[in-house]
Amino acid sequence: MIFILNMTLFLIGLFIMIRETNLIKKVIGLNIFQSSVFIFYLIISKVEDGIPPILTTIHGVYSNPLPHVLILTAIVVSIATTSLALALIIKIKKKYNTIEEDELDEI
Amino acid sequence: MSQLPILIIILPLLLVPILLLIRKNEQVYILNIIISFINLILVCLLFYHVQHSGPLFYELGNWKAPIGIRLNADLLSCYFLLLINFMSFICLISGKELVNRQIEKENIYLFYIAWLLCNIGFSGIILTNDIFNLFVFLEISSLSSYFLISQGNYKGSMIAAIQYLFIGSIGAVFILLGIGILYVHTGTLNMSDISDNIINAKISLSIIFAIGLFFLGIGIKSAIFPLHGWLIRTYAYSPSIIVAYFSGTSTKIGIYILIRVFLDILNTINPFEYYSLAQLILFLSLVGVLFSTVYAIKQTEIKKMFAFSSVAQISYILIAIMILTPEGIAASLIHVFNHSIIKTGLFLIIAILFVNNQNIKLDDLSGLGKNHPFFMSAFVILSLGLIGLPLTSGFISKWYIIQSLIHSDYWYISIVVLITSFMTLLYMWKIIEKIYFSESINNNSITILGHQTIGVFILAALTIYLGLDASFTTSVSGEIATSLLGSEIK
Repeated sequence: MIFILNMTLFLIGLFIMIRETNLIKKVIGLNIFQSSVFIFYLIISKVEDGIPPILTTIHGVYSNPLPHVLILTAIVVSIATTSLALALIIKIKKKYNTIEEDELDEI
Repeated sequence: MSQLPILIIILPLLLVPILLLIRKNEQVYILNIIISFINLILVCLLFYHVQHSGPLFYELGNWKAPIGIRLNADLLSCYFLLLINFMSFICLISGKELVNRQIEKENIYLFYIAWLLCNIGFSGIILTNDIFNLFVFLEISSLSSYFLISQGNYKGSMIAAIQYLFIGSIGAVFILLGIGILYVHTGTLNMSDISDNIINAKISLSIIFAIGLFFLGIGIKSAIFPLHGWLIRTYAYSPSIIVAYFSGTSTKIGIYILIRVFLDILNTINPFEYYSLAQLILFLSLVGVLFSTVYAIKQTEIKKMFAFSSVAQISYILIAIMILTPEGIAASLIHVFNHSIIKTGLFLIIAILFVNNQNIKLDDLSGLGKNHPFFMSAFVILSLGLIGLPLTSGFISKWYIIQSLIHSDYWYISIVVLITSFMTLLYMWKIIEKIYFSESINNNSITILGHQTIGVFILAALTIYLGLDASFTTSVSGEIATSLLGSEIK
């Protein structure tokens, strides 16, 4: 069930990126798209009845910490992509005075 | 010797913050040249070492493989590493004047730093043996390439950059999701480990989904036919020197990831069998060859013509891979090397002739043969190579591709390859005719400086040399293909 929700998020993000012509909306779509994959990594790392993998006296089943670490790296990458995209959009707005893709194509 | 793989990545990476502090265009350029040269020497040493004493593994921080991250330098890595670093060095030495004339003065040092980062990303993709690291390095190189493209002084540069950013990020996220699914099934991120564990995993729909995601991501990165739109825009609007650099490296990295993921990591489960993926890709590449060659003939703008020609050549490479015989893989690897040299040379010549010209029409070239006979001879050599006439390296790779096709089940595809090669002659001849047999029209403004041409002449000489003595490319690619598919080549 949760995977279906996750994939819906994935498709919504992809749909926004394809459908929208406004560059800012595209960046929002990209963020939703990337976040859905991050959530996917978090889902697969969860173990039933697992505790957080912190060193304590209780020794039980614990969730897999590795995907969390991977996703931290991926989030940093995603932030860098978003900031670069926003910087480019600011430059485009200054130069052409529009951020609608169909108007930009005419230039 | 055992430290070589990490040095190739870490030396330039350490230099980046130092360059950011220096902030002087001239010094940054010189340091960049020096580090590229050192890197090229290190790569040659690594190549020599790997060729004579087998693959070299480097365990980061001495953590053993499945837990720690490992760098893996086998012959396939070294082959691509040599190509990438050589192209970067050639473009750097011939690109100084072009960068000065095209990039805004206050951004030049940032431009060189992004270039260096891009090359680090490429080297990292090639050397890493950890599949998540591959994603991180892919993003390092992509992010810096978005910046490099946006620096062009053409009208559409920034739009091309943001569109490439969107489509490149989609591709990277596909690859990330594919990595996640593989991780679920194998419980490891180490490439060799994945390859060992995936045999035992049940082949479910999700693994096939992962294969599809990988293919889409890689397809976007290497501009496989229906996903090639970004390449045309990027090549038309990037700074001239960056087009020359990317034509030899960026799409070839896509090919490398394709070979690494599908024929090395997932080779144990034959990923191309499912839903006849191999036949699908073969069909797409065939349509791609025909479509892009026809479009190249119709173009009157030189850069777009060469961009479409690049798409056609990528399709040749894919066709040779997809027949899945050792011969085919070897032929595709030879073509990767030869095409990189030829296309980078052609784009460099165009860049040197018309730095700030957005729409370079065919007519702009007329009469250049009389004004610059020596320089344009290099252009002719490279175009003959692109067509694939004997005595050039293009002939060798086309020959091997056709030979491998005839020996496989798909012999009829060789007819398409021959026909499209002939069509390449049509559009290249249009250019050569303009250069030598038309009256010149006010071309006196073009000045060619001596030091710019060194790179072009090196590439032209290599085209001839690899056409006469192809023993280097054929033997190395033959060895790689044998090690990948594990059977002898006839």
